[in-house]
Amino acid sequence: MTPRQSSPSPDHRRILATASAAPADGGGVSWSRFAGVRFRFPPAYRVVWIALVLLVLACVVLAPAALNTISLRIVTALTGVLIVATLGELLVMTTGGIDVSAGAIMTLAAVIMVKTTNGLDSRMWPVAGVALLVCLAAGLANGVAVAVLRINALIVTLSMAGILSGAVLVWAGTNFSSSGQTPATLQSLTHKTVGPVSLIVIIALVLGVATSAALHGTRRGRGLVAVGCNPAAARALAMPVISYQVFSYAVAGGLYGIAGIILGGFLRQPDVSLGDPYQLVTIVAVALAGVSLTGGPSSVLSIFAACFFLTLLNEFLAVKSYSAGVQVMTQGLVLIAAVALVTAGGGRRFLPAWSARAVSKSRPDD
Amino acid sequence: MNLFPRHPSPRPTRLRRPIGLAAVATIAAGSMLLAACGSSSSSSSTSTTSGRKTAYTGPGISSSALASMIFKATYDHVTPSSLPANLVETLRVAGAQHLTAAQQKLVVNCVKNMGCSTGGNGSLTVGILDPGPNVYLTLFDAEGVAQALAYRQIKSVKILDANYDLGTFLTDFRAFIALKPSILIVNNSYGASALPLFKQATAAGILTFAVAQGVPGAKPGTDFTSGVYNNICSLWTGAAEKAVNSTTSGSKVAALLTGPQGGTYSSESWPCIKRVLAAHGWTVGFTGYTSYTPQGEVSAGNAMLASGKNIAAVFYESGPDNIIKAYLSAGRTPPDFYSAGGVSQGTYALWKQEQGTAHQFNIYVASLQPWEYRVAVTAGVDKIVDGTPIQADDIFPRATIPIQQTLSFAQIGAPASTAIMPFLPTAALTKLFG
Repeated sequence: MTPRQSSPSPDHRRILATASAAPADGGGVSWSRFAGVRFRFPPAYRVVWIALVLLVLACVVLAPAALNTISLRIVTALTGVLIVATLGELLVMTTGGIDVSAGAIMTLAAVIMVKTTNGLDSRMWPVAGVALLVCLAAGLANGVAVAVLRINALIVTLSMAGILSGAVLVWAGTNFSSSGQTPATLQSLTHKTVGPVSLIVIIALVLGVATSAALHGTRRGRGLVAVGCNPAAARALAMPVISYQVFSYAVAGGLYGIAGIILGGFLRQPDVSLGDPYQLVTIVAVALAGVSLTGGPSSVLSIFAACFFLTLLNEFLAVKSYSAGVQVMTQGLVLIAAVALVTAGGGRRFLPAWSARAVSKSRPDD
Repeated sequence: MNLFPRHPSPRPTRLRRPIGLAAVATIAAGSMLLAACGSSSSSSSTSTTSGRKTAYTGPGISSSALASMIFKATYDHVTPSSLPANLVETLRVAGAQHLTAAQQKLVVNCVKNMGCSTGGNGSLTVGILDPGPNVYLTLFDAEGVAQALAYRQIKSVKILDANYDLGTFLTDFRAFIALKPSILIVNNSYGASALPLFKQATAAGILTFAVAQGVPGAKPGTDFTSGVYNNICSLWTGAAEKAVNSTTSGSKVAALLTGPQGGTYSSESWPCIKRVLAAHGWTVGFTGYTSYTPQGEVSAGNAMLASGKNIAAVFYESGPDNIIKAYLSAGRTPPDFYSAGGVSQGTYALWKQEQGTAHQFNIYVASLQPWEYRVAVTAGVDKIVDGTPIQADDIFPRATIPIQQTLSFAQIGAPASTAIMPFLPTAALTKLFG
């Protein structure tokens, strides 16, 4: 249980009271289970699922092509890449940090793959290992600068993005290698599908489940969340706050690296713009998934939904072939609405007073 | 335009400060190369067969070789007399140029080091200002440097790259004005925001060329020395006419792709395409935006495919590879593709691989025009040395042709991302991009 959970809000106390008062024999309605789910999955986490359902319905009615096999293959592939990158961002934001170097680190990983392998399969795995180590090192450097040197996270990661982008251009130029391609095995692997679902999203889900298990099922994982909830309290409890923060940035670097390698393989011939779309969208995905921007608990399940939502929204607009103005406006409005609902705790804040009371009275614990 | 930036919109500010500082430092170092700018060379000059005075004193080329260079440059069989004199002279010089291994190395190093001393004994200097780094701009820079090597009156070249940041671009532009190169080649991707600096540069006596695209609201010949670009509407009108006349699919549905949403290129090209399509009973069934990134192109290609529309022709100013691959991956035959020059050796390999199969497709390409920087160099040197007049606008013809017609001059063996038909030899391209 995290510190935030150890001092629950009045709302949560009611839920806990209900949970403790529930019949132990399981007879009748098991409110304890219901309350447990509600406690672990508060409204902020649910909003993105509601938004996703609405979007899927919109696709079914307005743009069925966005859900056909061809679309799903690309949507699931790009969702998978976004999930992996967003898991990195999630770790950082869980500890109360922020990282805008995700895109640059992804590009770096892809460039290392292209430049160093020159498209040769025989070099793929060793180079992938090196690329991941380099990305981990970049993340580690971020972590040290933020946690040890106490430099503002936004400035550190922004600078790191600039340094890496410049280094890539100096080292690899604009073409990377004579073939300009990632190894054929990597291309083939990232284009594999299971039915209409890309293998990339399956890999991402596995990584996500592992991340969730580590965050919620291990002492160190819960410690990471505790640091994000209240660093001062964590420090008072003699928790190694700095180590946790440095660790989160370093692992995030590794996850961005994995995302970059996968995306490089999927695009076959990546260029320096590979990571650009991920610089901010990972933060949007984390916010959309109901994670507090100041750190604390999170739901990896909602991260899955947020990433799928963002990618499907793009596909929906692309398939509908709306004009440029409509596309940009729709993306902006939908994202603001979704994030506003998340911030407002599932929209309850927007309900009129009488309605909120009615909702409150209908709760089993009242 | 033929120079569609891969990242046309200004990038996030993450790169602005470091690159801006780097640019200032680079300029300080580059000022060593750019001393004594603006003075005329005292070298002798010659006249071409047309009587145009030229500073070029090297060997000439035959009329058939010149015709070949003209086709390679424009993809059109036009006579020299119908072309701007500066272009003809540029092609004459480029066609006669046979870079030695040492010169090729110099070109490559000059581009990689963002400037060099060209070894000329004159006092002229050339400045090149790019909006950002990409394979096309790297190639353009190299072509410009190679052209400078043909003139012994040119002493040095300096290149600055704004990394797709407007602030850096304007800072670099001001730095060049302060350094006063004899010839300044500006590839302006930032519209009218750079206009005051074009005026300042011209007022400072710098021969300032706007290449690849114009400057909105500017008066060429007054606000800057000359514009070196093509007529976008004319290019795409011709491509659309070719599409409606040559398609064999029976469908009359087209797809329009471009980089950024609301970009300046599509605002000029799409109305021209739509006009032709509408006149022939065609409709636009799909419009997509790629941001000129591989991911954007893959997504747009798949969305186009998923839309289920029977697309007969796709019009896109950048490379077709990722869109075509989306179709081939799905086991579908790609539609006819019209590209304005972003076609690379990789595209050619992709096209060749599918010939004779059930999914063979057609690609129509326009010249990338990597020679535009060369035109500015030649026009500038001739003006300074011989007083040869420069037209306010050097607008060149540009046509789309089937990719197989480029085979006669395609540089097979050059790195995959290299655009088809640069003037530089394959060995230099391999050193540059390999």
